[in-house]
Amino acid sequence: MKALRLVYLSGVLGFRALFSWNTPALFFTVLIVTPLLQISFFVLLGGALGYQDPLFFILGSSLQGATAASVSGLVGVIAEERGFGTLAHILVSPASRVAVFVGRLLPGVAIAIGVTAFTSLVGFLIVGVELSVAQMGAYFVSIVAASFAGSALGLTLSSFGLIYRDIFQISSAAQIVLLIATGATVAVVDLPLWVQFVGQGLPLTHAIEAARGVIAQSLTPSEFWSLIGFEMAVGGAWLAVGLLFAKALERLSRTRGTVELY
Amino acid sequence: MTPLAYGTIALLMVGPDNSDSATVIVFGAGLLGAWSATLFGAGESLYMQRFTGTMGMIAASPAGFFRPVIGFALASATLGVYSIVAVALWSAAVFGIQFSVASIGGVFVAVIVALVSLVAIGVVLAGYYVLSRQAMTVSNLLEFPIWIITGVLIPASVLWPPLQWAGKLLPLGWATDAVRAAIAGGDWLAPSLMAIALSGLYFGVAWILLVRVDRLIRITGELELR
Repeated sequence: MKALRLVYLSGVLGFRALFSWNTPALFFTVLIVTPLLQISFFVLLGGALGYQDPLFFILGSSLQGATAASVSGLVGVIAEERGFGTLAHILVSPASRVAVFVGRLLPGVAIAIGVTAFTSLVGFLIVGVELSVAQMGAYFVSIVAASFAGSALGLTLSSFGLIYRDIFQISSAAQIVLLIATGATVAVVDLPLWVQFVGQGLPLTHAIEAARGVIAQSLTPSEFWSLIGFEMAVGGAWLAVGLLFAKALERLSRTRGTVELY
Repeated sequence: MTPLAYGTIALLMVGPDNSDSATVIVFGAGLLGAWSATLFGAGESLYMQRFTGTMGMIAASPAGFFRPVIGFALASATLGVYSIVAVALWSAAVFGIQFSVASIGGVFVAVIVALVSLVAIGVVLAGYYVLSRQAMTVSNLLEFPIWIITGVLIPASVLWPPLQWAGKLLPLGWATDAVRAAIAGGDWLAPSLMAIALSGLYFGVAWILLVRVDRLIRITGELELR
């Protein structure tokens, strides 16, 4: 209960302090317009190069947006705490770091899920896709699974923020890998075999396959849940790695005295 | 990494059998990265000046904002050279792309013109970046629209006509045409001259804006806010 309260308070405070709330109109514009522009870019690029149909990119880019926000959200939290000089205060407090940082992350993930659902809806309306309630539910499950797995990867990457000052570089690299290796923009079968292999261990790959299968009605329920299970397992594995890294790198940051560098 | 990623995605989309478009994709991805470098480089340099409290010193110096801002934008645009070279080397090494260019001199001139165009746009944006505490947020918002309407990677001809014309209001839109024409053996000189003329206009506008911004920040007294 105490941990849940910490998660809640950390989320509320972090959301008010660290996101760009001082210009709400701009914040919401970026939130809505940027994902739509990304989808438009890939739809146009695919159309110009004669590759796939618009729905392929609407699904891929929408889900990538949810994962990207989850990955970079947590990385951004650590980077901003370091930038404002408050990271050391968190590390010296007796509170659970995981609860604090997950709390910081949750509002961003919730918004990312909402934005993904909205951008998908806009895309579906434009290309004229009609979904049943069951399909919508299954699609939403795919988004949530992708966000969970992305958050877990974000936890792993953000732990490097305890010893490394410019973790946005790591986050940017991760976004690019997710964009290419998961089937978000290029069909998995068109990727080199070793990239396909890497993609199996990344968040998003299985969620995208599940979402595309739901929309195309090409999956049985057991195949769909199997893919969601794989996505959650990938997320679980990254979560375990992230927790280990967070503990080890916090110790290292104390030893090296790097927490207050920015 | 951005130009390498988008170049890779586009090359994977065209597949191994479409090497005709590969050269255009490589230069397009390079220019795409150059725009990101200029946008985020110029934006971040001013954001960091504000964040670290040194922007007031620039405002107080007799040099004014225009010349330092040109320096910031030029420094960011030099990353554009890296962007193009990096995508070319990456494409050759990983995808085995063999470049097919009709006019090497034309491409060289057109790329230089494109980089000047980027600096011109960056300097115009600098006026807003000095005034605003949201430079990085606005940068995020501007990345995709300019990529789309200037036709760096997506040919402008596939766009809705009003968007094509919007692209032609930017010097980079003409410079991109010049690069594509030089690769294909078309007339690259006319769009290059158009890009240079528009860049000159942008520099003029930027100078006026920055003079007004210089006056405005003294009235509002908000330069030290971050």
